[in-house]
Amino acid sequence: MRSLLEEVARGYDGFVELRYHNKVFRSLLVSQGRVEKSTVRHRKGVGVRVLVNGTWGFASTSDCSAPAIRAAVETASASAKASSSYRKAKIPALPATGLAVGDFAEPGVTDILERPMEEKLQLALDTESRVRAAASSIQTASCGYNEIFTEKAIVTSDGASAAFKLIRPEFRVSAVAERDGSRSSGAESIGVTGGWECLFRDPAQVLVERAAKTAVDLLDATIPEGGRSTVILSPSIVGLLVHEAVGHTVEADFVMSGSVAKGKLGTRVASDLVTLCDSGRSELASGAGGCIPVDDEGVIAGETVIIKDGLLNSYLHNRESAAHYGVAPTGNARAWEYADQPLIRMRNTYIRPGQQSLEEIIASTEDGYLLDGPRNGQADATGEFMFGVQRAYRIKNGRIGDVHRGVTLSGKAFDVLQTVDAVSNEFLWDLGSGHCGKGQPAKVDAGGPYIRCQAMLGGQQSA
Amino acid sequence: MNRPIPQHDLLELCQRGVRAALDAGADQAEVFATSHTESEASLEKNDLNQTRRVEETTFGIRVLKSGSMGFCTSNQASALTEAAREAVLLAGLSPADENNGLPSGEALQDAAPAVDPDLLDLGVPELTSLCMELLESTRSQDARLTIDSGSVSVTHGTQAIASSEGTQASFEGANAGGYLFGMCVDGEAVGSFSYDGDTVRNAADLRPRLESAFSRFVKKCAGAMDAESGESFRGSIILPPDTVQEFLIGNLLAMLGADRVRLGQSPFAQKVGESIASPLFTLVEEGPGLPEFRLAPFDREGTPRQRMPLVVDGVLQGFLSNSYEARAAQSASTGHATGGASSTPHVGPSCLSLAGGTTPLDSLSDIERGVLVTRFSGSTNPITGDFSGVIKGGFLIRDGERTPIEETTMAGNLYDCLKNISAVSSERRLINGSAYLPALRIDDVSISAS
Repeated sequence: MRSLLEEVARGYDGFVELRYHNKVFRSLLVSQGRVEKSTVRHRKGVGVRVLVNGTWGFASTSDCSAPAIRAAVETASASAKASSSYRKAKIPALPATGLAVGDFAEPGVTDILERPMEEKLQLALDTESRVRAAASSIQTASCGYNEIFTEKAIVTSDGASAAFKLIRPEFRVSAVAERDGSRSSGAESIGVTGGWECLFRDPAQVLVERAAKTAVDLLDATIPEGGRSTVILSPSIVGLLVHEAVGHTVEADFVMSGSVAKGKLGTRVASDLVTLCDSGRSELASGAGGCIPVDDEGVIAGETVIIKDGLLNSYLHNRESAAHYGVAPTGNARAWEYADQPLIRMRNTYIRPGQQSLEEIIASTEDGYLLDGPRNGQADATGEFMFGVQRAYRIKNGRIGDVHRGVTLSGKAFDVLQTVDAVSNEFLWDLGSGHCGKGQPAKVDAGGPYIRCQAMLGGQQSA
Repeated sequence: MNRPIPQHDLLELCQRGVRAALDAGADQAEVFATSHTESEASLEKNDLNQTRRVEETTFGIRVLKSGSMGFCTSNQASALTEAAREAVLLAGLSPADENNGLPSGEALQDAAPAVDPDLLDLGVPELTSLCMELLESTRSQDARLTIDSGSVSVTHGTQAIASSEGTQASFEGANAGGYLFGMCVDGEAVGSFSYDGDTVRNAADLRPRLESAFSRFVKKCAGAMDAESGESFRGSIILPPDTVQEFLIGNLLAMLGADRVRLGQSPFAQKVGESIASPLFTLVEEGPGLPEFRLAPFDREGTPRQRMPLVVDGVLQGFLSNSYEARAAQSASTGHATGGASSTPHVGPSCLSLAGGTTPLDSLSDIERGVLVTRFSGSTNPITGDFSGVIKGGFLIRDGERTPIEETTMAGNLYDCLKNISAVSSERRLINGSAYLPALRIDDVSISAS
């Protein structure tokens, strides 16, 4: 496909970006012993972007033949020409930069694709059955398996010519417990870029036990009192924090719109214990769910240090924003499917580990909570964030106590990061089964060590 | 603007798919297909971002073989036979389920297209011009306003379904809409994100409805500036129509599906005929849509859509179902199979209306102390009803006076909130053609401030 795109791109004078994207999404869902879903989705096509008179034009075609791609280029060009008089800030020609050339690969593609679907379905059936059998109070269980196969080729008229394949399998387990009219739920999931062994770095049974235990334990749990608290965040919650609270505010398109990170490069935004990065690679541990070797503009997707020792060091860029700021692009331009235009998106975002053990951090916490089990998360222009947490363990005098449920954590990103006073030496990628939403979805991952900080817990007030 | 595949040609594609699936060994087969074209002018950073033109045809093949189901979807019409074989192969892997099956269908008469020809005359140049005019007029309302993103677009689509059990139906529709997403920035002060938009069926409605939506957007953005920390108390919250939809109705509807009852997840199982909400609460699923925004007259399985009261004066009337859930519950489908060509049918509403009340909108905030929740950024567990999260762009109300607040959270239980509705506005708003909702006041919610 790469050579076909090169041939089409050669026929045009101006900037043309051609992206072939073939996605195959297989999905299994088992609940109450029934196969609720056994589906496969094929979607492929070519997305075309042109830059004419300083204005972008985009078109797409599901027909991957050369004539259809050329027709899409003409459509995109005509749209850009027709609208360019309306654009005030014309985009200058994109500066030359190191663009990817060649075929790239991520691990696990053959392993997953050649593994029979029968085996995957049987695992989902067995796992769901084990969740229901885990405790008498568990009324409902489900187990899902997804795999997203992606094949891409990206060619630009100024030198990018790259192709790659990757696979992202996901596995999730959920349980609902009920007793005396009270209900609670527990869920565990994992998603990776890689093969079967990478996906099951913890065996499925571990996920079964955790989900069931959460559902059962939360039956008797209360909602904590709301207010500002000392909190120790597990790697999954750290992942939410760095993704929602920081990552979105340093996406350069958003910075240019006026996010809270605007104008703060070089200033202190976190305690000096915090070094925060975003990478297209799986740094520090294998299998991060947001890996890409090359972004959708043909830029190699390396590591970007966003915060270094507490100082804001870099934004996340595509080629256009990098040119605006006079820096090199960071490989963060990503499109969900062929009919989507590339946007600035995170990949794998994390805080680098520190020196202390989790046990030491808990022991030195007089009054607070250990938060674990991510639910959803959102961030705001102000840097104010919110994310849901499954389990909040009370800490009193250095000891873990009762578990509470139904909590959300919120705060202003840079204010919360300034309060970080402990960073553990563990490291885990733990958000690979989710999607980030920004007009279009993106597979991302995030994680890090355990950290201790101050934030708002959303809880109950007495009447 | 190019056109989608005509509905009868799309129906013929579906019929070919059904034959291919039966030839591949399926006992029953159904093909649902959609075709659409879309033109869009998008905004970013207070300027035109790009223009976009896309078109696509997608089909989904659902097959039953020996009581097992398989599904394959593709956007490559040339892969119809291959997809049919793959769906049959998938069905062969799953255990049988006695409730699996396709509904006994019928060939529905063609419904009148929901297409305003004037909409189809809106190409990229016209959309770009309108988009930029609206950008400028919106920004002129408040100099602090910054638009992160937005768009104005037109979509023209057809859909069709055919099955081995006699189902045949097709529909054509077009709509246009737009949105703005952004905030106010004043020096170092950055306000909370806000969003608003609308979708219409008629070209004449497009500009005025977007102007209204974008005026609401300006008020939300401006209202979020100069916010102060709120107060901690238990008291009333006031939800505008769009917050009612996002916070309350979406989570409630998930539990009013017969699938959730079957799976033991709905707290409303066995409660038909019982009071689950305030007597002020009457919720109706509007089936084929409201007069202002007509929908396809059939659902994702080709079953005729019907209007269905869900909660009347606080009393639960029944659950939404598709053909599988109807068989499992030994009842008839209510015609609420939802989804597109790229997914199997699931259960859900197509359009909702919540009855208006008797309280004028402005009088909802005639309370001693409460919070107006413009947006809720939080986490809700629809199974338990527990919710907790941040109030965005909110206002503390004290004796009718509004003060913008930040870093304030609310927590409680959604199903308790239903019972604690104390006032419903007499005014209602149509939201994106799919919901017609009033504003609500709900008592006894826990508010926490830092």
